[in-house]
Amino acid sequence: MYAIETIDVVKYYGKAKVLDNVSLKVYEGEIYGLLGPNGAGKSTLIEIILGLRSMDSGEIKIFGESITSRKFNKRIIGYVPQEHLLYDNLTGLDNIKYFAGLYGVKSTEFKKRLNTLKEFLGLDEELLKKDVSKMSGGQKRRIALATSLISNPKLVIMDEPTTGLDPNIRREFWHLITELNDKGITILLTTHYMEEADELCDRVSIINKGKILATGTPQELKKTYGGVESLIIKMRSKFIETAKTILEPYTPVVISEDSIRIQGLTERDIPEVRSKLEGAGIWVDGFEIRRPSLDDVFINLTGRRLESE
Amino acid sequence: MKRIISVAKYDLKMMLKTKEVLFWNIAFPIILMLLFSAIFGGSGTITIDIGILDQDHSDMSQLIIDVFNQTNVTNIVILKDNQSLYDKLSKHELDAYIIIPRGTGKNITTGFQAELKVYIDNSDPNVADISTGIIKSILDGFNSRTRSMFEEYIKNSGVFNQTMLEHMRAYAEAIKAKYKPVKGTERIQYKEFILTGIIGYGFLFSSMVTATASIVNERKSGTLKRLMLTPIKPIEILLGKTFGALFSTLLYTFLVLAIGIPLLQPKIHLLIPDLTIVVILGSLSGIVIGLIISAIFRTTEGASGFAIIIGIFLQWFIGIWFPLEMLPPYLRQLTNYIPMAYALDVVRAILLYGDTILIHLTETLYLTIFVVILYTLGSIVLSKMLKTIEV
Ligand SMILES: Nc1ncnc2c1ncn2[C@@H]1O[C@H](COP(=O)(O)OP(=O)(O)OP(=O)(O)O)[C@@H](O)[C@H]1O
Ligand SMILES: [Mg+2]
Repeated sequence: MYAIETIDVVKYYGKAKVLDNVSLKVYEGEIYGLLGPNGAGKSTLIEIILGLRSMDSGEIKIFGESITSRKFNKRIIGYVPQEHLLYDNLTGLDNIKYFAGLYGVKSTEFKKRLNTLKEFLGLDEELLKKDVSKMSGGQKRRIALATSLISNPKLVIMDEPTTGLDPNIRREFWHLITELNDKGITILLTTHYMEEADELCDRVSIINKGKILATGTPQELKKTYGGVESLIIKMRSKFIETAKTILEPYTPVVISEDSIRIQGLTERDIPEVRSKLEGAGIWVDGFEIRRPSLDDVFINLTGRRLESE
Repeated sequence: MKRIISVAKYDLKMMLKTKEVLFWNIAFPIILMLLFSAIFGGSGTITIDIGILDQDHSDMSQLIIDVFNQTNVTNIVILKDNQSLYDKLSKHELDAYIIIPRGTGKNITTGFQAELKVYIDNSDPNVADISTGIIKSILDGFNSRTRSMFEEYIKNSGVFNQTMLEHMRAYAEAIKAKYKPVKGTERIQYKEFILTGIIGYGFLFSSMVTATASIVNERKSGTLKRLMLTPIKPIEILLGKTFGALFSTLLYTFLVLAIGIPLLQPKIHLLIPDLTIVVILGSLSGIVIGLIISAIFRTTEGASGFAIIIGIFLQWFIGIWFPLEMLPPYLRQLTNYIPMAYALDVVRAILLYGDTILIHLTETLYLTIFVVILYTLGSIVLSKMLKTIEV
């Protein structure tokens, strides 16, 4: 049984087709990532999975039960939306209490769960007493996570859980999400950060313009669609033009004002390249081998970069 | 039930934590109440309002009216007929009423004494004394002038006989008046009117606009999405929001009384249970209208804008600032369709006259029926909105 199964989901906004036969299967217990640029349709898909939006055709099952069925129990899903996550002029604790109340969590049980969450999410008393409107982005997200975990869900759906957070805090969140997953909770998240998909997710679907272009583990995707390794050569910018001419036979690409990339070259080719350049009086600051990333996967699949931020 | 309480509790908490809401829904109306009662309720120079019913329609009766009009301590209202006199009398609208009976003019010009009927409103004995004194002195002035005019005439003519002596006696007091105090309940002053009116303000703003906002804000901030993922049912959202706004209106009402009573010192009857029931009904009719507004508009701006406009508009038609009798008839008709106007009417009857709710069973019943029907409608509209509007 899949935790989530979407079958040929189609969604139009007016005449624009924003989801085009989206089919995906999320296994129980995995961290599944939907990687795609702004406007790809990630949030739309998630809201359809949650039953917050209608779809034009298709079917969605959660733990084997169609979301339109009477037997479907939405209590098992925790949702952390992309933005506007909480009641801004209530405190963190009031937000958590409110959702606990809506889920009918009994007060003794609530205390137990709150203590677990406080420890797990690192929520201290001071933070809990603060109004959400006065919290930082990272603090808000921890509270939001707490409000969706208070009902003990089996599946947590997060829409861009780390967008807008600074890199250190983002890593903390990855850690939290991994720990959550270790407790047996299935996770579906969306992201437009390729490192996030790469490091955090067990499996990833690449989505662009409402279409799923590829699905697999990050390794599989890079192997299948990432292309070959490339050699990056760094030098002072005044040498760049000359170096480009000298290296012409390798079809070099200038990727920044002080670096050139040559696809298909490996470590073994370094001495040859170095001697050619030094022969022309060009001093190389460094060589680097770049392995294909999910970014390359995206470029190869769509012909454009997956812009970050 | 727990879910309904959760919604109500945190809705109220949010409201009470929002400074703008506290200002516009609570402080602002209370300030207006104090301001208005200071402006219009002042007891500076005394003028008394006298209604005159002229049954004689003679030059002489017109002269009497003119005399009353010329003094600047009286404010004359010409009454059309007995009916309007009794209307005003029973509502204690004026301080005194003078009837100029048929034949008054003829009596005076033919040398007989005329008698006016004067009713003094005795609601406030002090005012009644003043009214009596003022009317007496005006009539005395009239009499002494006619007397001296006549004496002048006699002197000049040089004629003096028995008939003239008779006339002389009559003209010594051309007009006599019979004073009758009219007993009744206290006359309502503006401060009492506005204190009770301001309670009705709560039906519009603390109830209706707040109810719209409580759904609109959740739609706008997207928290409604999260609400929809919990096991809560639309009817529970409806009831939770209702209790939140209802409680805030009750709080507002008692705050108005707690501040208004010591500051304005009004003469009112505090029948708390009856008052509470009617305030609940008035508030519920406002809330349910507000909730329906929040559900039928596609855009959140449309919904909250409409609720506020309706609130601003309706405050002139439910009798907050002035008695609805002052509206022209065609607008007066309109108020028959506004449940909050009924509620405020009963609130006034309770506070100002000490009526119980049983006396106003019809209005109460009407309000209850209205509330029940609209809640049925509201729960349908709201659950439809939650299903179809992609929140
Ligand atoms: N309510 C709506 N009405 C009409 N069009 C919409 C609506 N919501 C989203 N869209 C459009 O649908 C497309 C997909 O939007 P969606 O929000 O699902 O993208 P996303 O992948 O979540 O993007 P982001 O990374 O910016 O969150 C976009 O082109 C967007 O403009
Ligand atoms: Mg999105």
